Amino acid sequence: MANLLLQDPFSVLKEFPEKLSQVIETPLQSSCVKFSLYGDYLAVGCSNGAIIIYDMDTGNPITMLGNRGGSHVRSIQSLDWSSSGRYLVSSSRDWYVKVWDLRSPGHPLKQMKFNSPLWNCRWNNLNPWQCIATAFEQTNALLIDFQHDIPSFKKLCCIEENANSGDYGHTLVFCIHPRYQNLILTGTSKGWIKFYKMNNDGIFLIQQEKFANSNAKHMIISQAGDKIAVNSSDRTIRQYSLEVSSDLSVIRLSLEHKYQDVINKLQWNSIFFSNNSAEYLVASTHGSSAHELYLWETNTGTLVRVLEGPEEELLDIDWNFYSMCIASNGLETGNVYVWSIVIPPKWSALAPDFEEIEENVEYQEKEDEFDQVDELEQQQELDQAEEVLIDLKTKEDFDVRGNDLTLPRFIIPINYEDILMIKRWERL
Amino acid sequence: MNELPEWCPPYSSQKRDISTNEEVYCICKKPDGGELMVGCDGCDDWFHFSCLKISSNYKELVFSFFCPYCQAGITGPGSLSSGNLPKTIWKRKCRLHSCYKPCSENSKYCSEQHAEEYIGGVLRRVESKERNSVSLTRQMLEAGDLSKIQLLGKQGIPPATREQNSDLYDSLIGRDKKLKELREEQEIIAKKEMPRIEQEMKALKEYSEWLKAVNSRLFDSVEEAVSRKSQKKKKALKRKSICGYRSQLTIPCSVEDFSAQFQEDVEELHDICCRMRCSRHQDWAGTMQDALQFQIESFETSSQRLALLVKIREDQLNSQFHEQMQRTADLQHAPRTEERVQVAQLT
Amino acid sequence: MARFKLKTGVLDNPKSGVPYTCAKFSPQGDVVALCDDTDVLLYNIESGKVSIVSTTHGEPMSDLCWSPDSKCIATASDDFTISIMHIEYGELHHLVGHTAPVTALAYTSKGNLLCSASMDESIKVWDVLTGTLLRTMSAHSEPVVSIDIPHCDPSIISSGSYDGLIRIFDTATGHCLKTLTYDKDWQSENGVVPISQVKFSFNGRYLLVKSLDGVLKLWDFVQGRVIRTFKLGDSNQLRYSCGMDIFYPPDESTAPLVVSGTEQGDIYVWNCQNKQLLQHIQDKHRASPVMSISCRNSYMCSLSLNGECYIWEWTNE
Repeated sequence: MANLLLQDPFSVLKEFPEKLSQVIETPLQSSCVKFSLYGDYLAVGCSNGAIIIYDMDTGNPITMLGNRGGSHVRSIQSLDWSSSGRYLVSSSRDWYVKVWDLRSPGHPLKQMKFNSPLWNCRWNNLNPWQCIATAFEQTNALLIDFQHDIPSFKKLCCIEENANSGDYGHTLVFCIHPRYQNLILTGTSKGWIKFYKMNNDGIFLIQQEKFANSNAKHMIISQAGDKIAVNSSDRTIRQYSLEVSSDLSVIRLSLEHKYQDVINKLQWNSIFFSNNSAEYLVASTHGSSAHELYLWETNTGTLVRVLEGPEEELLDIDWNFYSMCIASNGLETGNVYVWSIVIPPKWSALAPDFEEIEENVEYQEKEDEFDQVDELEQQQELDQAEEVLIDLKTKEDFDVRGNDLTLPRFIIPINYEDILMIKRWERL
Repeated sequence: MNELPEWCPPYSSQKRDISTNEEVYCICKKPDGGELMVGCDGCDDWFHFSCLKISSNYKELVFSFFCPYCQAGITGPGSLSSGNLPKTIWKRKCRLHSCYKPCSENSKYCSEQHAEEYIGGVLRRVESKERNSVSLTRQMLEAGDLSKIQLLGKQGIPPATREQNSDLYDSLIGRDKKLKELREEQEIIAKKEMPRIEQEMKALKEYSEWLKAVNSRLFDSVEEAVSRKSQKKKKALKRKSICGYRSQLTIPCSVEDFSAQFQEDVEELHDICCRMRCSRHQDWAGTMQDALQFQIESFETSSQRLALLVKIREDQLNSQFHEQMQRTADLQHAPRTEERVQVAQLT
Repeated sequence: MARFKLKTGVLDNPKSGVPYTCAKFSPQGDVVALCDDTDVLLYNIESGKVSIVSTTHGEPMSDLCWSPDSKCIATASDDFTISIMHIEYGELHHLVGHTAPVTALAYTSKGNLLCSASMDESIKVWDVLTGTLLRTMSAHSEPVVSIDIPHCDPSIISSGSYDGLIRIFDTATGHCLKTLTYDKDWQSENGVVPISQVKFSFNGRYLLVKSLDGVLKLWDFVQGRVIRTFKLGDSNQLRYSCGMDIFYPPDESTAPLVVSGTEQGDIYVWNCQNKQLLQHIQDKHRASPVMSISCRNSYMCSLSLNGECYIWEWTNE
C-alpha cells in the first residue's frame, strides 16, 4: 500500500489505533463483527439473523447474505472469513451453521442443521472445507466437514474421554494454534482449558488445566502463538504465556496477568490481542456504565489507553492489522464504531522541495550547498540514475507494517442488479 | 445587506463626469458609448452587459433586472425596508442549445420551428426513420395538456419486431443469453422452489396441530382429573406440555396411540423429544416457521425482481435494435472510404 | 525480430467532424470499447462484431473506463457529467457534480470506486454502488487531464494537470501525499510544460508521465526521481494530449515496452529497460493525432482523432 510509504513513518507505524474515525450505522441490532483479512470488508452479524457486508472504502453496505432465501432467522453468534476471503461461515441460534460464497451471496452455499443453538464457529485452516464449532450443552466441540454435498460432523474428542467423561462441563470456546494448526485449545463451562492434537491417526487430548471455577466466555491466542487470554464470567481476563514443544508433546501454560475492573467489578464482553506477539490486549465491558474499550500493555499488564467515543455499551471486538482498525459494535443502536490511525495532511506534500518543521530553527548551510556544480557531472549523475535496472512487474511482498501482501485477496463482485432495483424503487 | 461581488467597485452616487460633465452610468461610471445596456428596475440607472459579466446572448432573457447595488441593498427598494432584497429574474430560455430566445407561452421552446429541431435531434438518437420530428412535435403541441404528453412516453421504447429485420432480431434479441438466464431463473422459483417450501410449511403446520392435540390429550385429561381435587394445582399444571421436537416432521402415529404409550419420565418416544421444560430445543417450531416464512417472502421479492430485470434487459435490447437499424441505414448511404482495411461487421 | 504487426482495422466509416478520443481494451482483452460521438461502440476482436451502447450524454466524450469486471463502462463527457453504463442493462448512474468537461476516469481494481478528473481543476471520487460523491480533491490550478490508480494498490491516485504538476493522492482521505514536478525550477508564472498523461506500472512502483511536449518520463515516485526518459528530438508545445501505454510482452521476450502516439500520427515503441527505440509505425493514421493507445495481453490498439482505429498484435515473426 503505497499511501503508507508516502506518509510520516512515525505515524504509520503506531501500534494501535487511537481515534474514533468512523461510525457505521446499521439498521439492525448487531451481535458480532468481523473484518476480512485485508480489512477492506466488514461482516456484521445481527440478532435477527441477518449478515451485512460493508465495504470499508465507502462505508456502505454492499450485500446482505441470504437476501434471496436461506438467511439465518435467529441471532448470529459468530462469523469467520475463509483464508481465501471468498467464503464466510456463520453460526446462529437458529441451529444452523451456514457457509456463504461471496461470489453469489444471495443463497447459502452449504448449511448444516444441528438440534440446538450454536455458539462459535471458525474455519479449520488445515482443511479448506472444515469448520470447528461449539454448540449448546455439548461436552465437545464439533468438527464439521462441508466438502461433500451432504455435510457431516464428528465430535472433537478422543476415545478415552468418552469412556471417562469426568465433569469438565460443556465446551464453549476454542482457538486454533496459529503455528501448529493441528493443535486446538478449548475452554469449558467449568473453567477447564483442554489441548487437542489432530492428525491422521485421530484426535488426542494432550493436556487439560483448570483456570477458574467459572465458564469461559472467550479464548484468544496471539498471532505468534506465544500468549493466550481467557475471559471468564468471574469478571477476570487471565493472560498466560504458552510454550509448545514442536512435537506437541509438552505444553507449558503460565499465568502472566489477570485483568479486572477493581472499582466497578464489571464483566468483560469481548477481548482481542494486537498482532505479532500480542503486545496489547483490548477489551469491552459489560453493563451500561462504561462505553469504552480498554487497552493494556501485555508485558507489564498496565492500562495504556482507553478508546472513547461511543455512548453505549460495546459488545464484540475485531482488530484488523492491515488497515490498523479496531471495530466494535454497540448494544443499543447496533452501530459499529471504528477506531483507526489518523494521519493529518501535510501541506509540504503540495509543494515539492519544502520541508515541514515543528518550530522555527536557525538555518544551517550545508557544507556543499552553494558549491558550483559541474553541469557535466550533474548530467552524468542523472544519466546514471537512468541505468539502474528497473522492474515494472514484480509486486511487493509485504507492506510497511510487515503484513503479508501475497495472501489471496477476494473481491466481492458488485451486484449491479441491486443497483438497478434500488434505482427503480427510488423512481416509484 | 448582501455583499457585492468581488468584481464590483463600491457604490458611488456620481451621476456626471467631473471633467466633461457628461452623464455617466453603470458600475464603471462611464458615459453611454452605444454598448448594450440594461436598465435597473430598482434604481433606474443603466448598466453595461459587459461590466456585469453577463453574456450579450442573454439580452432577450431579462425579465426584471436589479443591479449589484440594489441586490446588495445599497440602493433601490432593499435600502428602504429590511425585507427581502430584490433579485434579477430571467425568462426561461428556449430548449435548443444554441438559441437564446425566451420560451413562448406554455412551451419550452421559443417557436414551433425550434421545437421541431430539438425533438428532431432527440429522435435522431433514439428512433428509426418511421417517426418524424414534425409529426411528433405536432402531436405534443396538440395534446395541449400535460397528462396527455406524459402518456406519450409511457409505452417506453417501441418494441422491436422480427418483421423489421429478422436476422438482427434473432441474433440480438432471440438468442440473448442474459434474457434466457433470467427467464430460467423465474421458472425455477415458480415451478420448483416455491412449491417445495409450501409443502414444507404444510408439513410443519400438520405436525404442529398433531402435537397440540397430543399435548392437550396428555395434559388436559390430567388436569381434569386433578382439578377435582384442587383448583390451585390445576393452575400450576396448566402450561405443562412436552417439547415435541422431531427431526423429521412426519406424524409417527395417531394421537391416541402416542398418548397411550407416553410415560412422564421418558425423554424420547418415536424420536420425539418428550422433555417438559426443554431448553435445548426451545422455540424450535417458531424458528422453523420463521425460516420458511422468510423463504417464501424472499421468493416473492425474487420473482418481482426478476420480472423487472427482464423488462430492463428487453428495453436495452430494443434500443440497441433500433440503434443498429439506424446505423445500417446510415452506412448504406455513406460514401465508402477507399482505404478499407476490413469491414467492421455490423452484425 | 519481435514487433507489432497490424491485425485489423476497427471502424470502417468514422463520422466526419466527430473527434475520436478514446479506445480501450476490456480487462479480459477480448473487446475494444470506442467513444463514438455520444455512443460507445464495442468491437469484439475475435468475431469482428460491433455492438452499440448508447449513452445519455449531450456532448462527445473524452475518456472511457472499463469496470474491472468488464461488465460496465464509465464515460466522461464534455457535458460535465459521467455515465456508468452496464453493457447488458443500460445506464446505472449519471454522475453530476463537475462544473466543466470531464477529462479522465479511473476505476479502482475492486471496481467499487470511480475517480474522475475535470477541466474544473478538481478530482472527484464516486461510490459506484450508490452513485454518490465521496470526496473532491482540489489541488491543481489548471485542468486535470489524466488520472490513474495502480492495479494492485487502490490506496493512491496519481493526477497530471496542465499546471505542470503530477500529484499523488491518498484515495481514502483525499490528502495530497506527494508532488512531482516536471523540472526543478517549476514556477507557474514562467510557463510550464503541461502534463498530458499519467500511468502507473503494473506493480504500482513507478509512474510513467507524458507531457504535452511529447517527452515521456518514468518516475520512481516514492523517491521523487526520474529513472527513464524517452524523447524524440526537439519537440515544441503541442496541442493534443496524445495517447500512451505500457505493453508487457506475454512471452517476456523483452522488457516491458513504452508505446506512445504523436500528433503527426506516428507511434513509437521503446524498450523501457535500455530505452532503445524498437519500432516506429508511421504508415497509418494519416497524420491525424494518435489520441489513444491501449495495450492488453498481446494486443495494442491505437486510435487517431479522425476515427481510424487499428489493432496490432505482438509477434515474433
